Amino acid sequence: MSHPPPRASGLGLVSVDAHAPQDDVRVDFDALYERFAPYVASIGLRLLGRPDEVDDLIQEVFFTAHRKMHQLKERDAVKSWLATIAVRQAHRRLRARRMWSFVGLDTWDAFHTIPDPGASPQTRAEVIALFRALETLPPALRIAWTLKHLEGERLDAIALLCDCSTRTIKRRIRQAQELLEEVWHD
Amino acid sequence: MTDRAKRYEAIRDAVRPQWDDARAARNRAGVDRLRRRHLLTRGGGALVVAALLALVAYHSLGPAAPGEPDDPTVRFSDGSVAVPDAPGSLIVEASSPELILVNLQEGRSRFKVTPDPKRRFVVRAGAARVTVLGTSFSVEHRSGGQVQVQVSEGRVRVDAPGGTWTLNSGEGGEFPGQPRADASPHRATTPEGPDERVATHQEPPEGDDATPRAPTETPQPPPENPLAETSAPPERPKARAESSDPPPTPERRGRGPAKPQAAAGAPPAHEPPEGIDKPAVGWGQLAEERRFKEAAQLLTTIEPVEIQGASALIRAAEVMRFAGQPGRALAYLEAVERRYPQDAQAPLALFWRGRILLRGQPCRAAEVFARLQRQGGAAALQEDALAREVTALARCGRLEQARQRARIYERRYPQGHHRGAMRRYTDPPDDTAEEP
Repeated sequence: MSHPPPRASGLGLVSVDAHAPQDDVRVDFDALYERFAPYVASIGLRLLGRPDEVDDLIQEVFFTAHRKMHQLKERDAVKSWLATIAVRQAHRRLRARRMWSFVGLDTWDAFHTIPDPGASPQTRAEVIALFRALETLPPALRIAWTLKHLEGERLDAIALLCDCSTRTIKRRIRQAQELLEEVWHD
Repeated sequence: MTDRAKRYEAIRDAVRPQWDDARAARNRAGVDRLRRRHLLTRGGGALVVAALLALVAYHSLGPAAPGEPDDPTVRFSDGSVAVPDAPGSLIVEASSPELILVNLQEGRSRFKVTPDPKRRFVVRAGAARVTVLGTSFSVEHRSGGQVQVQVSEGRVRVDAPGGTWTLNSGEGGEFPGQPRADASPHRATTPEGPDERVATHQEPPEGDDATPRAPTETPQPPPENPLAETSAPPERPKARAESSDPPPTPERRGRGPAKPQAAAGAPPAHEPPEGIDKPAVGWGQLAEERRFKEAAQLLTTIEPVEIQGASALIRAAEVMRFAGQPGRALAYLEAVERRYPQDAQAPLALFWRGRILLRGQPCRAAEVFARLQRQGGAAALQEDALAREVTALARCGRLEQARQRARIYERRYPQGHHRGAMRRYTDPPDDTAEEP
């Protein structure tokens, strides 16, 4: 049975158990995983741009979530909390990838696996071209741009996820856009 | 919506993972695998930490608690171990980073001593004292007072009545616990012939106490090759027991100058143990031979608390003075004041201490000279003590007090030796006045 990934409709606070009291932060981990794993997979694929790394990211995110469950102060903030963990893990992976590419050891070139097989050929081509261009960006700029344009998040939500100011996010998005325009003509 | 926004939305819709139950289960199992691995790592780390803590706790154990009947082993904080044959026969008298002192009251004990140049390991057995130089050895204290020492590894120094010997690895020997009745307690025969084993000390002439020599005074040159001489040493006014020997017995006190065994024709105190190398020489012997630097070096291996008698302590201070280390004499002089306050030489030791302090610690020197005057006694020292107190006070910056004490000097000793110097203080203050 295939579940459609949750639509990225912003980081609205989602309650794990709608009937639980608001001050009850005990979360059923299995329920948490079942509900948010597709969302983490989605944000992971868009941030990383490599389908074969997404599973590792999902496992790392939920492993970290399980270890740091006691840090969760608001039950309704579970989704943004998981997104924060996912962004940090993705940032770490992008940094490592960039380092490997500097020394010529990152030879991944399977961009054709990124777009959905059901997408139109033109969209598939645009996706491949976009993610090739994103590979050239510094991780911080890439994440800010991706969260803004591919995840559709608001600037203040992105600033929260990246643990920086809105102004910084604006600057990063602008810089990323300038760099992308050089290599990706949208 | 702009064209660009539409394009981004189209791309967004085209970038979505394929999610199904199999993939969900696979990733859920992956999370559980990470959790198990983490628990194992953390558990293993905790085990390693626990093992390290246990190891550290084991090695940091001090001497075994007294009264353990089953295990007589005594472990020291530096890793040294003593294994007496019988529990309770070994008493730890001192255990510090500088000195471990154990007393083997009876029976035999084996020792494994961790080498440490900063710490001395001393075993007392009757009248013998074994100083460890980093080694494994055994000591047996027999009922008749005899002490048997056997060295397995390293080197030990044995101080026993009659001499001092160094035993190397594989060597051993028997040492008398008490001086033999048929031998002079001051003498012992070494493999190379008779040798004086008890330091003698030349007393300053009468009246010299009042004006002790300056610590920086140049010592007389030592005689040439004194150890090669077989004739009797020069006559000494008095003989004193060397500090490393046991406290002098009443019979030993007041003896005249000792004469060599060979000259007197008396039998040796005891035969040297077999396999013993050239005997070590005590610091008193070296001082007697005016080898002050060597004596001072040897003295650094002996705690002042181990030196018995005010005379020996003052002799040790003199060694330091003639070796050009007057500052190191302070410990011995303080020991005289602390341990032998009623001794006739205590005021002299106090005066000497004040003189040494006057060179670098005038405030403390002033206190010492003032204390000497309060204690009274040694009338010949009182005038000098007051004059030096004035100097010390002036150097300490307490000029008004120095002036008052100088006036007291002028009243008490109008014809005193230091009246000229005191006048400088009673006149308008001048802290550049020369030392009396």
